[in-house]
Amino acid sequence: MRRVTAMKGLKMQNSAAQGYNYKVVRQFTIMTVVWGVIGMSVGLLVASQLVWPALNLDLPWTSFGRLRPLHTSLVIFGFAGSAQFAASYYVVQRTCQAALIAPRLTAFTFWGWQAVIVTMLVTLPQGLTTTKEYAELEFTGAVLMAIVWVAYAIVFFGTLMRRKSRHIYVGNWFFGAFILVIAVLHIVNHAAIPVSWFKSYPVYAGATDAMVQWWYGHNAVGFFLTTGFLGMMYYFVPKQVNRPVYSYRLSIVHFWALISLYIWAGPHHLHYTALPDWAQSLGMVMSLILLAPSWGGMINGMMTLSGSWHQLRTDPILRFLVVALAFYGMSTFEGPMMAIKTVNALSHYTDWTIGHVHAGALGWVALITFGSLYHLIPKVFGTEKMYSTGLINLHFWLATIGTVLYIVSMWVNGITQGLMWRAVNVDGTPTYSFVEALEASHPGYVVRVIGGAFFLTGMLCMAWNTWRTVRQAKAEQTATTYLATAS
Amino acid sequence: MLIAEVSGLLTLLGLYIAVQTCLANHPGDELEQAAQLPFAEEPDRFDA
Repeated sequence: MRRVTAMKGLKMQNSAAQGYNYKVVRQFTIMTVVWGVIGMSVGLLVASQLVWPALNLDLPWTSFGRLRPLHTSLVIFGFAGSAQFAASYYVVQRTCQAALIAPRLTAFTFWGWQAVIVTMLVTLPQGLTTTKEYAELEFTGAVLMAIVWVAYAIVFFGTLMRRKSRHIYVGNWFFGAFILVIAVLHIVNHAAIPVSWFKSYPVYAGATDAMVQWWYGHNAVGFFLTTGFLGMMYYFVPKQVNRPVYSYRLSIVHFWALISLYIWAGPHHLHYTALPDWAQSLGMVMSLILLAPSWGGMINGMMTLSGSWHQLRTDPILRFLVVALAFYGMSTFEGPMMAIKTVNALSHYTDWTIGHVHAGALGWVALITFGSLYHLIPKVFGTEKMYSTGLINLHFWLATIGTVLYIVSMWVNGITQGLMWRAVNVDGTPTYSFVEALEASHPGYVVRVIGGAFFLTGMLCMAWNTWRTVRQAKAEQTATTYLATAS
Repeated sequence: MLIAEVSGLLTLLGLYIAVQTCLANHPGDELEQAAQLPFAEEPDRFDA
């Protein structure tokens, strides 16, 4: 039995030995798990601080205001960013049948990206921040991030140019758009005049500054947390189901429609502000139209399972991928609805927004990442399968239940807050004070902590499973070497 | 509001042209073959 396993390992090693650069994929995969554990732990801490304020510890470095941006930065750039580096490097090699170009530059993208995340980890708790949401990293770190991103673009597009087929697979189109648009967004939004290593002032002012920030902010969601992950979906769902994507033509329409429309939706973050009314209306209309391509992609992914739904009974990895698509469909319906001005008048500034973001972040981004990595890890480490299928299953249920608890509690809180803030007496004075709305939110915050704890526990299961899989792969490779030497 | 309407219409027109060009630029069964690209290598079905 051991010999058979070892020979299978050898076969996989042979397939991996076609000159593909799997080292960098392995590195980014491991760091996805590491940053996931750290970033989600910080998230659970800040959620707990809203239930038990004493957990702020009366220290500036551990206060909610400093740890919250650290949480978002670690999960977006550390966890989701590393996942997309790993997946894009894996997919582009496999679908182009070409190794990554420039091994040293590729290695630089890994170490450079980790340096960016560590810079976040060090500077944000110190209060060194631009104050722009999802773009808090100050000037020096932002410049390093831009340099790494340009290197990433060179490696990715250089590898595409080496491809053996005429056609570029649709997953790579999504990865390519993600890389190009993030470069533009990051550089434009971080245009600033530095006064020291970690203090700068933006070149924009007033409503223009706000508009540029939310053009960036919404497209950080649209391109950093959607487009790249759709690239993952278009590769890993067909691979896991073992059949081609439902409609390749639909995937092309999906691609062009998504990238054409997403870039316009940012102003819906600035409804009822100093932004010109026409810009707000444009953002609202584009957000509504965005529902069509989003659901086109979701349906394309779901329909890929047509005739293979029975696999869901036995394959927890496929469950991750399909439930991720379901959450994607749900949150891309909720988003356009929240962009309608009259709905936004109720939802804006409430916990509903936080719930919506996490429907996408936990339900879509994290679940599609987990499914993709569980597919990818055995292949890049050269073993047959993950150490424990049971742990994958446990992770699936912990993550799904945790996400539902999180979203529902924030829906209840958000609508409660919106209604209480808007309630007025006959003389026009507010019916409820802000503190009363906060007290009404407390049970929801407790449920959110429970949901977050579920999700983090699932993440820890994945970390353990990954660790054991890597050790299992090493043991198999040692056995293979021994057998090869003995024979 | 005129700017919003013109921008919106131009975006939709651009989208139509992009999609039409993209679909027209793939003769025969190239798109069907493209959908097979993830399976171009060794069959590596993975059962968890």
